[in-house]
Amino acid sequence: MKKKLLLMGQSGAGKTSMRAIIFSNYGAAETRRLGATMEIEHSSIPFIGDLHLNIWDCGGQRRFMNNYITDQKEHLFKDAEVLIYVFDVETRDQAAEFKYYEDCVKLLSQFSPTAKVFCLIHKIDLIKQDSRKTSSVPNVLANYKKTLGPLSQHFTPVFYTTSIWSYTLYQAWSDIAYKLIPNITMIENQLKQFRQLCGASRVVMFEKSTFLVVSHTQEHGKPNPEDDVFVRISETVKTYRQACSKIRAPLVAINIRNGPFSMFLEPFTETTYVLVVMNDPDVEAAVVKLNISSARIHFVNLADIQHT
Amino acid sequence: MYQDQPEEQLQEENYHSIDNDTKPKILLMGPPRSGKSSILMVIFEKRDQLETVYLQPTTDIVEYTMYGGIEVYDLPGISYEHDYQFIDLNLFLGENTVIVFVIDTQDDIQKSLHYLYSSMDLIFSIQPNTQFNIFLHKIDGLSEELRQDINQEIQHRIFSHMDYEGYDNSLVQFYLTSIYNKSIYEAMSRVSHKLVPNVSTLENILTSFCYKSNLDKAYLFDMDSKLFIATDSFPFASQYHQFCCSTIGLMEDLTTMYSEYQLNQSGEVFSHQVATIHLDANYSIFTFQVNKRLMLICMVRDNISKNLSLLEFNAKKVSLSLKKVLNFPDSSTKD
Ligand SMILES: Nc1nc2c(ncn2[C@@H]2O[C@H](COP(=O)(O)OP(=O)(O)OP(=O)(O)O)[C@@H](O)[C@H]2O)c(=O)[nH]1
Ligand SMILES: Nc1nc2c(ncn2[C@@H]2O[C@H](COP(=O)(O)OP(=O)(O)O)[C@@H](O)[C@H]2O)c(=O)[nH]1
Ligand SMILES: [Mg+2]
Ligand SMILES: [Mg+2]
Repeated sequence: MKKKLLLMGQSGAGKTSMRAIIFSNYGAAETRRLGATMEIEHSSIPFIGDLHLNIWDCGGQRRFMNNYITDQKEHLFKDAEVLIYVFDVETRDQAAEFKYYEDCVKLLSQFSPTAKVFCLIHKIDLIKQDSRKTSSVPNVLANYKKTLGPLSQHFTPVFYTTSIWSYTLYQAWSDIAYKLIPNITMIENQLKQFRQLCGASRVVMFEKSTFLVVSHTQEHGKPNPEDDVFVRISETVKTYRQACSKIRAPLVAINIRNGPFSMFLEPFTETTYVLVVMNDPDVEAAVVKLNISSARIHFVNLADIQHT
Repeated sequence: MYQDQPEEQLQEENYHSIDNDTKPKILLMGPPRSGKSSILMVIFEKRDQLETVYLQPTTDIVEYTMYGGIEVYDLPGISYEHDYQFIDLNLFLGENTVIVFVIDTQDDIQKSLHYLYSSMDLIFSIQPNTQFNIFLHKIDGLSEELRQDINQEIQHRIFSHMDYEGYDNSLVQFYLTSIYNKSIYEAMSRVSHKLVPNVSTLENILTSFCYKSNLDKAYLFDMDSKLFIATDSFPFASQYHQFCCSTIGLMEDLTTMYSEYQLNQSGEVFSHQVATIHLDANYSIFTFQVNKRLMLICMVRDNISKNLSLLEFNAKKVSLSLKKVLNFPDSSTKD
C-alpha cells in the first residue's frame, strides 16, 4: 500500500534536511551540505507491513511554488494522503509563506479532501529565550496556530514544533507515520498482550531503519515518566548507529542490567526492533530473549507480511 | 562537579593533608580566544560546542575538579601584550602541576608562539621541570594534510627555540585537538594520566584483565567528563576511543528509560549497571559500572553472550582492585 506524502514549505525551511535525517541516516550537522531541491524529489520508503511512504519533497523556491499551484496542481495534490507543511521560524517573508500555505491547502481540499494536514513549526532551536518569555516556544506555537487555523479550509491541522538538533523531529515524524499504519490497532493490542505475558513494565516497537516509534505500551500505576522518554530513544539509537558505522560494525542488540531492572533492545521482525524494560530482579535474560523470539513469529504476520 | 557527596568530602579531607605544592593541577594557558574556556565547558559542563561561539573573555580564574582530585584551572588569557606577569603563578605551580597550552591553529601562529615562549620563561623560572602539553587547537577547519604540516612546522619552531634557550625538549608534548570531535577528550585524558596516582598499576590491572578475558581493549572511563583514567597497554586506536565516548553517551541516554524506577527503598540510585552491546561482525562491547562515576568499557572480538558470567565475574574482581588502587571509597556497595 503506497501512501503519498507531500512535503512542502519555503526554500531553506528544512524539508530535505528532515528527510535526510529520518530516512537516510544523516547527522544534523551533515545537513549543512544539502543544496536547494530542484523541482520535486520523489522517494519511496518501505515502512512496516506493506506500507510504502511515497514522499514528494517539493523544492520551495518561488518559481517552483508558482508552478505547483498552477500547471502542476492536479498532478501534485491528487491522491495525497498527507500534507506536511514546514514553517521556518526565521523566515524573512512570513506573509508570503502564509499565502502559499493557504493556496496549497485550498488545492488539497479540492483534490484530496480526506487528506491529513501537519504543520511543522521548524528550527525552534533558533528561538532565543528572552527574559520576558515573549518569544518562548509555546508562544511562537500559539501565534502560528492562531494565524494558520482560519487558513486551513475544512482541515484541522496537527501542529508540531521541531528542530533537527533535538528529538522533537522524531516525535513529529513518529506521530505522522503512526497515523498511516493500516493495522496499527491490531499491532497495539498484540503488543500490550506481549507486555503482559512477559511481565514487562514497558515495551516499545520501532521501525528498523528509521527507528521511528511504531507503538508503545507501559504498565499502569507506575510513576509517570516524561511521556516523550521513548521518543528520545529513537534519536539516541540512531546517533549511536552512526558511531557504529564509523568502526564498520553495525549495531545489532543492546542489553542493560542495573539492580532489579533490565532492558533489551533486540531485532524483532524483518522491519522492526523491540525494546523491553523489565522491573523484576529474578527474571533471567535468557527467558526474556526467549519470549521475544516467540513473539517474533507472531508479529511477523502483523508487521512484515504483505496484506493487500 | 560530582553529585557524589560522601566521596567528595572524603577526598577533600585527604587532600587537605597534602601540601599545596604536591596537589595535582592542570593549568590551561594560551592567548585570548584560543579556546581554553570552550574546551573546559564542553568537557566539564557538557555544553554544546555551538554554545561556545559567543563566549566572552574570561576575566576570573575558573576552577574545575576532576577524578583523583585533580584541579583544573582556566587562566584568563588577557591579551597578547600582557601575559601572565600579574597572576601570582607561585600559587598554582607545584611539583604536580602540568600546563595545557592552547594554540589556535587558525590564528596568527607567530604571535601565539611568542606568548608561549614568554610563558615558558616565566614558568621555568619558578618550576623548571613543568611539563607543557601543547594543544594545536581548532583543527576542525583544516584538511588532514594541512594538519600534519602545521603540526610539524610548529613542533620544529618550538624545539629550536627551546634548544636555543637550553630548555629540555622532553618537557613538551603535542596534541591535535578540536571541540567539534572527540580528539579533545583523548588529549585531556592523556594529560590527566600524568597526574592520576598509580596510573601504571591501573594499566597493569587492565592489561591482565584483557589477557584473562580475551578482550581487545579495556578502558576505565569517568562517565561525567567522558575522559578515561586509564587503559591497557595494547595499541591504542583513536577511532575506538571515539566509539567508547559514544557508548558512554548511549548508556547515559538509555538509563533515562528506566531511571524513574531507579531508586531503591532507601532512595539511593542503583549503580551496578552492566551492559552488553552486540555489533555485527561478531564484535561486542561490554560495560561494567565500577562505582557511581567510573565505568569499565571493554571491546571484544567475539560473541560474548556464551561466557558472559565469567566475564562479569572477572570484571567484578578487576573493579575491586581498581577501586583499591584509586582509593575511592566504595559508594556502590550500600545498595
Ligand atoms: N538551526 C537549524 N537549521 C536547520 C534546521 N533544519 C534545517 N536546517 C538548515 O537549513 C538549511 C536548509 O535546509 P534544506 O533542508 O536544504 O531546506 P529545504 O526546505 O529542502 O529547501 P528547498 O529544497 O530549497 O525547498 C540547511 O543548511 C540545514 O542545515 C533546524 O531545525 N535548525
Ligand atoms: N572552529 C573551532 N572553534 C573553536 C574551537 N574551540 C573553541 N573555538 C571557538 O573559539 C572562540 C574562543 O573561545 P574561548 O573558549 O572563549 O577562548 P579563551 O579566551 O581561550 O578562553 C569561541 O568562539 C569558540 O567557539 C574548536 O575546536 N574549533
Ligand atoms: Mg530541499
Ligand atoms: Mg576564556
